[in-house]
Formats: sequence, C-alpha cells, structure tokens
Amino acid sequence: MWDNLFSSVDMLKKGLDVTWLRNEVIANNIANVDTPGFKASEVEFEDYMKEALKADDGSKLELRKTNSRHLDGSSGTKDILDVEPKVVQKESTSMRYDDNNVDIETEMVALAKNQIEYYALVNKINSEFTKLNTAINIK
Amino acid sequence: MPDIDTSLVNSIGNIYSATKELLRTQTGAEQGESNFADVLSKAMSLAEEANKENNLLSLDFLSGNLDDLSTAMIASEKAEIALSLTVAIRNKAIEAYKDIMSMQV
Amino acid sequence: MGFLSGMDISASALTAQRLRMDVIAENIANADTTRTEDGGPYRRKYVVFGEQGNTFSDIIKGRTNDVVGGVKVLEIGEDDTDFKLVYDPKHPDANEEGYVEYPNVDTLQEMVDMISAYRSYEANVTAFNAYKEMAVKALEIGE
Repeated sequence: MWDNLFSSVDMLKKGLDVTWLRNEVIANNIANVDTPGFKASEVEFEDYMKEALKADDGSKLELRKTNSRHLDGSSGTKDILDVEPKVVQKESTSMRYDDNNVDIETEMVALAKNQIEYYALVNKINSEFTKLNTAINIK
Repeated sequence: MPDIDTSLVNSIGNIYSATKELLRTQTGAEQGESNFADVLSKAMSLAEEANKENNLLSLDFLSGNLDDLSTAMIASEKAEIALSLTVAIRNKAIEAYKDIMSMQV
Repeated sequence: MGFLSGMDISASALTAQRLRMDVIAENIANADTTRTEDGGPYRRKYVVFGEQGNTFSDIIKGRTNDVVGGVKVLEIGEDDTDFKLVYDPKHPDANEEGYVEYPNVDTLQEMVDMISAYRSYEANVTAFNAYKEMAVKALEIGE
C-alpha cells in the first residue's frame, strides 16, 4: 500500500506538468508573434501516452499493478509514469514576409483549451485527496 | 429474511433507506451480520468499479482520447461518492451492531 | 527556470509591444517635421524584435523542461528610404530647386502598424492572465 498510495495523484500530476509546460510554450509563441524568423513551438505528450498505453497484444493497459490484490488488465511494456513531454518546433510554412509562423488565433485557442485542462486536472487531484481523507477519517 | 438487492446500494442518496433495510434485519439477529457483510461488500465492489472506471477515464483524458470533458469529471465525482457511500454504510452497520450488543436480554 | 517564469515571458512581450507603440507614435507625431536638430527632415524609425534568452533550439536538443523565452527589442533602426519631395519654393526649408524634403513616414502605414501592435499587446495580456489564473488554481489543490 505504501508504494502506490499516491499513484493516481502522480499520474494526474504528470498531466499538470505537461499542461504547465504547454502554457509556457504558448506564452512564448504569443510573445514572439512579431519577431522576424521566429518559429512557433508546441508540446507533444498525448501521442506518447497513447503509445505507452498500448500493450504488446494491442489491448489497453489498465492500471499499474503493484499489489496482487489489485484489479488490473495486462501489463504494458512501458510504465506510464515514465512518459515525458517534448517541445518541438512547428513545421508550418509561413505566409509572412518576415518568416514568422506564429498563428495568433491558433495560439489563443490552445491557450484557452490548456487552461481548462489544467483546471480539470486540479479538480481531479482534489477529488483523489478527498477520497483518501474519507477513507482515513473512518470513525 | 428480506433480500437486499443491488439497486438499493446503487442509488446514491438512498443511504437512509439502505440503513432502514439493514435495521429491519436485526430481528433475525443471528443472521444480521451476514446481511451487513453482503450489503457492505456490494458497496465496496461498487466503489472499486467506480474507481477503476475513473482511472481509465483519467488516462484517456491525458492521452487526448476523450471528446467530452464532463465524462471525466463526472467519473471522478462518482468514484468519490461511491467511496463515501461505502464508508457511511460501514459506519451505520457498526452503529447498529453496537446497538444490538448493548440491548438488555 | 524560475518560479512562475511564464509570467516573465508575457511581461517581456508587453514591454516590447509598448516600445513599438511608442516608436510608432513618434513617427506619426513627426510626420511633417522638415527640420530636426541634425538638419534635414525626420527619418522614420522602426523596431526590430528578437527572441530572448535561450532559444528553443536549446530545448529541442534535449533540455525539454528548461523553458526560457520571451522577446526583446534588438534595435531601433532608421528607415533609409528616400524622403518625400514636395514642390513649395516659398517654404523656408526649400532647397535650390524649390523642393522641400518631408519625412518618409506614411501615416496610414503607421496606423495599421499601431493596430497590429495593439492586437499583439492584447494577446499577451490574455496569455498573462491565463498563466496567473492557472497558478491561482494550483493553490486550490488540497482545499
């Protein structure tokens, strides 16, 4: 029990880290909307998660099994907590004479989406802590 | 001996009627404990199911498979409530047990 | 990466865009200045933006979580296109042929530029607010 008391929280925390990083990248893109020659960047993570969740036989990884009494599916080849995000440059060609490929509308939409995702993850983490507290506070 | 079916346990907000059912079975005191165990174990498996579902949906959310954010949020709330329900049933069962034990014979 | 450095990124952009606005305002204000201290008409100025701090090429090389960025004004340059010539022999600044040299400022172009600067400024304010609200939300963990 002690090893993975917080494993679901760790998973959500990873999501928070990715979302936070994504916010920095988007802020940088927006800051450089007028910088000549600048190429926008983005954060890749969701695709890596999809890969990590695929087990060898193609079925979906369920929970990381750390206790023989835990319910689970088949175990995957990669531990999902080890998936890391990556910052990559966007390849889109620029329509502008100054060779800057920041699309301000796309960035604003991404900013709003990202913010909502961050809030959702914070709510979920709070929910996990509430459950743990409920279990601990049994009279 | 009344048979408590799962729909009672599954409907959230019916803790009161669930405990009413439990207390009704006290009349058959020697069989009382196994009924508590039944209901409690059903509640626990409900909570475990809800929790598993919640974790799966969280993973879906993190890998961008979810079209609809509300699915994930509702699942986490369900898991939370299912656990609280289990704890509440357990507390009521213990309370009822203590009441029985303190009865003058 | 410092604590809440994302705010610095947006703040640097706000500073840069504001400087751009200042330069545009100076251009518009001096659109008809035929005589400056150095002699000759006012020459249009422009700003050059550059990315600040570690460039993202560093990040791609592997330090994926070390995000430093933002924008800064590299220089305020002078536009060396030719001055506009207007025939007005009675003007005190007319040359021998009777032409007066007016600044190479196109007011309409400056207005368009100003709108663009304002839009960029607004976008960065939104980015800043989003970042701040996310940080505040993080404070609610465990409440």
